[in-house]
Amino acid sequence: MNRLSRRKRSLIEVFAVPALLALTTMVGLVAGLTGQGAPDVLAWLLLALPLGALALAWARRSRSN
Amino acid sequence: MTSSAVRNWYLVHKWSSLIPTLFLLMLCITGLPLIFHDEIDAFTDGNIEATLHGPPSADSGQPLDAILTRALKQRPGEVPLFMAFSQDSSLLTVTTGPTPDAPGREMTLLLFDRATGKPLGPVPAGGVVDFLLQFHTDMFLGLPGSLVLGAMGILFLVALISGAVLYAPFMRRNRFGILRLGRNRRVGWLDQHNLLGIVALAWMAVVGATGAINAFGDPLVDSWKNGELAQMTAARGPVMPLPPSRYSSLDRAMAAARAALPGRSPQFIGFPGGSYSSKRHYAVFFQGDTPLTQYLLTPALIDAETGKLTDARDMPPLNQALMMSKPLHFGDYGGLPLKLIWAALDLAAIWVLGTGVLLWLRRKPGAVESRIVEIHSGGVVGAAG
Repeated sequence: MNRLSRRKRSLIEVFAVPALLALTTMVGLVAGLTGQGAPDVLAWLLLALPLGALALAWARRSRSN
Repeated sequence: MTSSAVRNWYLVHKWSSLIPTLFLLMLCITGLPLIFHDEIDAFTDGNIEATLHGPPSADSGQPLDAILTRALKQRPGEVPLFMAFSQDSSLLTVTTGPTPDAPGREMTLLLFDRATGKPLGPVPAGGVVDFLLQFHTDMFLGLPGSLVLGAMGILFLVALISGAVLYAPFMRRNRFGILRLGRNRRVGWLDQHNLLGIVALAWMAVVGATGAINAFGDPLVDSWKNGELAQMTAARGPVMPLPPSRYSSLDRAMAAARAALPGRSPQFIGFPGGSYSSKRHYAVFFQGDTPLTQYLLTPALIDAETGKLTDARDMPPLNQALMMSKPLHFGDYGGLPLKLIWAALDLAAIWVLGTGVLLWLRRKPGAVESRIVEIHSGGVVGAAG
């Protein structure tokens, strides 16, 4: 298969997930500052999303180039 | 994106990354244990605060004057510089020095239990945490070292932006999260570099920006001291230095400060002549009264001779940004889980730096153009072989 023949994705497609992760990261960082308890838990969940994305990508890694 | 645009962004990314790489690696590695500074301190020194059961020293306890008298008895001939309070325990610290403007290395820190007024013995040596923090802050080079690290932080931000721009042409033909770890190692490094870099982008940007703000913070504090504090005191005419023998009651000063800023909790008192006050004022620094503003300090200036309020006003926005940037840089504001996430993201940043260096070291001989083709094709062409 010639990979280069695949359709080019639009900028919106390319940056959809990264932009979402950036947004959740920023909300998480500020949420943690706003108090103890629930805001902290929200911060943990939101800031763990990038790590979750890494875990998912690792699980789906391919052994071919 | 045109090839020449990719080429320009590639060159920006290359140089804004290569120049600060070693500094950034040092910062990431020394920063990793610093995330857990509370835990390390508690483990190596025994946690003094955990052994105290009185009310928070910021709220109540023995009179401040009595504790200050005890402190000065331990350090005859010295003058008080700072008195700091805890919001969590009855721990109270007094800093003394030979002169009101004594430099940090000549200061002595004394610990007290405000509930009983008793001294808590010598301060445990900071040891490894202090060493790492100093290295992380200025590499033991003082202000110049701090400014160099701040500049490296700004280059890091440029590298993040240019890296995110290059992510677009690279990923045009790839799905998000692609990790091709086959026989071609270079494609694997490219994918790891892009994936880790893009998912940790916002975190790296915040930690990088707040780090740079902190690095340039010392001059900021100075300019605030020279400008705002001077303004606050100038209204009362020229300020003559006040000898320590004429300092009046600290408890009365604290009462006047609390009356000016009701509902807020005091963090520390800067004594006259020091770097956080004027020549004749007690500067009582209060933290904000909401969770979001608790990292912002508001000083109340109390005339150290008369015990009367001179002025109380918020810090200027730049200084407020400096105060807010500390927790956002250290990640120590959301309990242990946040610290663990901080550590994981720090490791991700190290990996991004490492794969970046590998991609540069193991590049194929040849012109920049082959790297441009590599980026444009999403790693399929140019990286092969």
